[in-house]
Amino acid sequence: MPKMPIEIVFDSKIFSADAILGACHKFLAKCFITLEHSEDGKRIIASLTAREGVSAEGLEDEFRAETLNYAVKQKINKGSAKIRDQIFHIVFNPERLNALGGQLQTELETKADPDSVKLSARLEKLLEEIESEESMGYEEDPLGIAVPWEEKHGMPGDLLHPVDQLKRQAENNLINIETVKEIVDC
Amino acid sequence: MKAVKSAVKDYKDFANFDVTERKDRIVVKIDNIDYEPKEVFLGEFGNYVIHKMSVRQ
Repeated sequence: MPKMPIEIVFDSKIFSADAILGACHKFLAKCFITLEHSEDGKRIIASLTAREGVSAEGLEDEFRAETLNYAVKQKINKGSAKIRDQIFHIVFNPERLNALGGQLQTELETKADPDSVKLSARLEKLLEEIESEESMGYEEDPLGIAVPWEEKHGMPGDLLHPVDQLKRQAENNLINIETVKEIVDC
Repeated sequence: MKAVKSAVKDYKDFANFDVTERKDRIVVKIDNIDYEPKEVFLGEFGNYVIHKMSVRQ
């Protein structure tokens, strides 16, 4: 006995033909499907005839749910198309991706910890100071680091002979007097 | 139309097809169907057209 087709009517203002086609494609293995427009063109009529060995019970509800699912997917895809295109554009453009990555990293670093904002400001200030000092050049030597000690302070007035230095150290009990005598006698 | 023509091309060994395009529809006349039961053949052909339309989106 041939099975009776189930007719499902969709409002074409709510469900696009693509959404209904998507649902149809999923049901091809379960039933034979025909699609047609209503006379006024405002509705799409899907006729489903269950295949041999397939129960027709619940087929209509499943088909309606699947069509709704495709319609929602389509709406989401349409709504996010611009963002998706931008993401693809960034992903396939390495220069833009790197620039965005750097910017994002900086934002994350500063937003994650409020103290890091202060720290960043201090670091920037320090860097500026270092740069301004570097711009003076090493030849200027404002602290006189490169000037020899003798030129800066002159020769020490009480500069002693090494033997006299040893004797003085012995007098102050800094070294053994016997050792000093041995050295001096040599 | 492309989906219908493509389906007819794939099913031509099982029947004779005559495709005509009218104002708002495509009419496919099928005879000499070399498949039993014929209802199943027609159902499979219809499903195949829908499949071709879906993959062409």
